[in-house]
Amino acid sequence: MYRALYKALKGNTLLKVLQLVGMAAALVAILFLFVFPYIDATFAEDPNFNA
Amino acid sequence: MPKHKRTLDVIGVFGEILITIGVLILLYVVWQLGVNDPVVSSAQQQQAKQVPISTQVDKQFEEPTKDLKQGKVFAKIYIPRFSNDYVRLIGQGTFQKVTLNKIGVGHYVRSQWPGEEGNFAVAAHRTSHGAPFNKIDTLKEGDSVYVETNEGWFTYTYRQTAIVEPTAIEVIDKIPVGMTGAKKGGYYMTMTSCHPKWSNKQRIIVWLELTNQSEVMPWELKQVIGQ
Repeated sequence: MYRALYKALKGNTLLKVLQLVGMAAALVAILFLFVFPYIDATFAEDPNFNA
Repeated sequence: MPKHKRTLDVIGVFGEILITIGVLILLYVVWQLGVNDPVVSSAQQQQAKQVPISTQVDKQFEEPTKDLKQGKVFAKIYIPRFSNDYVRLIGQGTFQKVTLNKIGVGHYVRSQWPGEEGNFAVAAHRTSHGAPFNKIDTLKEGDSVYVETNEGWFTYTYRQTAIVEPTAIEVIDKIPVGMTGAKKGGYYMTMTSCHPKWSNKQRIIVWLELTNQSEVMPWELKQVIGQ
């Protein structure tokens, strides 16, 4: 999976590493800004002391 | 492609998927504790500070009635032991989505109101979502917790800490079960949170007793927060 992705990238090793870092950063940003807040808001559990 | 090579490829991809899931879970923990927690904590503090501190009795909160909706703010809580400027809003109910994750501190709907005979019980996160009760274990003899409502200021003084199972809901009874010396006709407050930190295996309970009620901000709190 990751090997295929690496092979699909263009340029030399340095360029490929830079592209991977960029993709990882973009992925983390999407997760932190949209995905995790959505999960947190949607799947919050209620404490046992609800009464 | 040889069969064994294809099998190895499938196992490899499966392994990568498992590693990816592990990394995603780790990232979620990092987000929850490293990013979300400080941001929410600061937001809750600012939210509480936006409600002006009333030196006189002031109708700035929702009226505490039995019909009060979940998440409606009816009081503020000041805990100098946590930090000199520690202040949070108290919302009705303990549902996470509506109250605990957003407002910070939630009031158990079946418990009494501040200043009322019986037990005024509240809950808040120990870790995550601003962790309003992160330092609950530091409360000790001589500490006071101040609750501000439309009716005035209520000073609750520390009495006892206990660790209980999550099912021990009797700790928030009108006469809190487990609190030494609790009796009918008393005025108590119960703070609850998860225990130990980073786990919800047990609950940490702090019991306090009403020691003062006034229409103006208590002078000792005024000194601490510099008003």
